[in-house]
Formats: sequence, C-alpha cells, structure tokens
Amino acid sequence: MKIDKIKKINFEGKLNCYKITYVDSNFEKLVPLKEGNTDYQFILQWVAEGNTIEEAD
Amino acid sequence: MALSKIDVANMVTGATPVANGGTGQTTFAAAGLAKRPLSKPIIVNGDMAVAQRATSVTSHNAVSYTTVDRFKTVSEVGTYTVIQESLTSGAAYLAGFRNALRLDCTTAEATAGSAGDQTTVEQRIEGFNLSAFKKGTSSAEKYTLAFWVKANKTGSNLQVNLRDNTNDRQIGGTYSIASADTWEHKVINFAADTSGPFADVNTAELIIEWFLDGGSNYSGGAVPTAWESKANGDRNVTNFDLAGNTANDWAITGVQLEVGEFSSTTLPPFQFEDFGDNLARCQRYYYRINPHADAAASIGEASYYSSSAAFVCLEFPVAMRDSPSLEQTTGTNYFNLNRNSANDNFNTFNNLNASDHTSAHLYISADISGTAGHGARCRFENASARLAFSAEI
Repeated sequence: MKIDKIKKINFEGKLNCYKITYVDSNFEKLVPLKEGNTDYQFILQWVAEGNTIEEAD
Repeated sequence: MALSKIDVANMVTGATPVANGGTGQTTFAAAGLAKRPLSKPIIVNGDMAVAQRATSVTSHNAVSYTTVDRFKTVSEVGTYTVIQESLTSGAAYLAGFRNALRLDCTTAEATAGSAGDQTTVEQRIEGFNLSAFKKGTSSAEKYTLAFWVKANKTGSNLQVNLRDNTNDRQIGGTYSIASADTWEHKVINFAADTSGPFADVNTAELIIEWFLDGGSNYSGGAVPTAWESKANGDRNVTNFDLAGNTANDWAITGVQLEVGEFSSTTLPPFQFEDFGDNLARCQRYYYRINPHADAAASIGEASYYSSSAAFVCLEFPVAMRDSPSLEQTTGTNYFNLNRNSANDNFNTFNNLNASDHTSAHLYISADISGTAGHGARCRFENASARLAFSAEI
C-alpha cells in the first residue's frame, strides 16, 4: 500500500502518536513514539528520505 | 535392589544416576536422543496453523506480513496471491501438517524492475530466542533448518540464507525441487559461527530468508557455505525466478530450526504445538481483536473522559514484544459505545495512548456524546471493521 500521509496526533496539546493513512484505503495505523516499534522506525526513515509529517489539527 | 546412594556428580554430567554410585549407561547421547535444549521450537508458527490477518491476500506486491503469522512476505518482484493453504493430501499432510504458506504469481515480472528488488519469505527471530546457538563464542553451535516445500516447477540450488542482523553476517544453503507439485522435505546444515554474538535483545537478530526471485544486486557471487560479512551478491546466486510466469507457485510448511547438525534420518521430530500455545506465541508480535469478524463482538470496557471523548482500556492476552501500533480499518459507524441505555456509533479510534508491552488505551474523540465519568461497553458495529495491535519485527 502506498502511503497517503503521516500526521501528528496530539493529546492535551502534546504529541502523542502518529497516524499513517494509505492511498485508496480505509486501513490506517496509529504509531506510538517508541523506538522499538518498527512502524516508528519506518516513519523516521521516511522522514530521513525527505518526506514531511503533517502537523496535528 | 534398594537404591542406597545417588551419585550427584552424574546428574551434573548428564549421566543417569544409579545405585551405589555407579555410572549410568543412559546419557542422552547413549540413548540416541537428539540434543534439543529448548522446550519450545525456535521457529514460531512453523506449521503455518495461525493466520490472524487473513487466509488469503490478493495482488500482493509489497513488504509485509500477509496471511500466516510470523512469516513475512517480501514481494517486490512480481505480484502474488498469498494464501494459507489447507492441506488434504501429499507427503507434508501425511507428516502431520494441515496448512502451508503459498505464493501464487498473478502478475509476472520477467526481470526485476529494480536491481535491488527481491521476493523472499522470511522469519525474523528476536535475539532473546537465540542464545542456545552460542554464536560468537568458542562453543558456537551448528544450525539445522528443515522444511517441507512444493512448487509448480523443478529447480536446483534454490537458496535459503541465515542473516545475522546484529553483526551483518550471513551464511547460505541450497536445496532442489526434484518433482513439480510434490511436497519434498529438505534438511539443510549451516556451520557454527564463532564470530559476532547475537545481541540479547527483543529485535530481529536472525533472519531466515528463502530467496524466490531477485534483481541483479543479489546474484553474481557464490553461495556462502561459511559465515561471511554481508554480501548481497551471494544471497540469490541461482535465481528460481518465481515471478517469471503466472503459472508459478511455491509453498512451504513444517519449518524447524534446530541447534546442532542433523541429517534427514537424525532430525528431531517437528514439535507440534497445540493451537492455543502457537497463537499465544504469535500474539507476542501481532494481536487481532475479533479475528473471526463477528459484527458485534466486544472490544472492551470504556469510560467517558468528557461529554465528547472516551477511553477504552485494553490489556493484551500476552506481553507483546514492544509497544505496538494500532491497526484499524475504519468506516461509517464501524464501532459502537453502548452507554446508559443509549448508543454512540463512531467511525474510528482517534488516538493511541499509553501503548506498552502489556496494555494500551484507545481514545475516541469524535461522533460520541455522553456524560463524563459514565461507563460504557465498546464493541464492533460492522463486520468489516478491524482492530489489531502490531509489534512485528
């Protein structure tokens, strides 16, 4: 699946997790800010490749 | 004869203690018993019995876990239907296996689109489960990998690699498929490695990699029959070309990794686990709530945090490998909060709070209306809704 966007999700004003959504899909992931989580590692790599995380609402 | 004395020293050496301090004849080796220092198989879900995500995934051209738990399907060359195949006949069935992981090529790709593309099946093993190999020490053990395999076409020198992720080292082995569409049992030995211990951590430190197709980056070298530093050109020396034709398929089951060197005649028997134990081991990496997709199945107890927000607090059935992600399939009225004789349908969980190895809080902050402090029960409202926690490696 191709990533549509990755967005910051805040809780009470603080960054709490990331949401990954995919093109043409109603499947999504909420990713904790934990270094051992491989989705989180993927997001770090995705950013390192020049992509940008969308700010929270 | 009464037992008058037990020689404790023999207990330490493994010899059977006998009366009057004599030396027993029945060591493990003398009894012909295989050395198996672990109570559980190293491979998780080696009989392919657990498939929490799905039993069939079509149009797979990605890197992800698809059907059978713990077996990652890397499909970059060609497009596949990946299925948990039910077995009803054949040699693997007669050996006790009722399921297999199967890749059917549905879109051929004669030449890999990119030199770095690969189609492989992997099992990634965390470092915590590898200490019995004593890798990186003078006592390092050999490895024996055994599995049942079937493909629509014959082939030789198909490659399977052990990749040490801690130290970027690798070793390879090969097998042949002598008869098309016929289950064959393979036993492959790998040398011990006295260099580079596996890190004792919860991340993927050993990757078993069955190479099925690959770009030019993965060929040109020689199959490494001894451990070596990572060299991509040695990982797929003879390409099986699974993506070469839509008639192609490849299936595997009965995977076991043993400590030590065994042949097809000395290989210890496959350790069949009961389904519950197998599922629990898989849930360390992936836990799907309501895997049978019952339309109104329970998710858990909830409480209203405010008039427009609620938490659902969940404890996982087993401790997960690490703090998991929440995976969800969302849609209009896919979920429900039943509260105080009223119902709030909602579309998605909006936040993941306090995700840890053993529990997580799911936060709902849209489409609901209640009273702060009131309790509720949270459940599915649509059979298409999915919720799962993933701590995969």
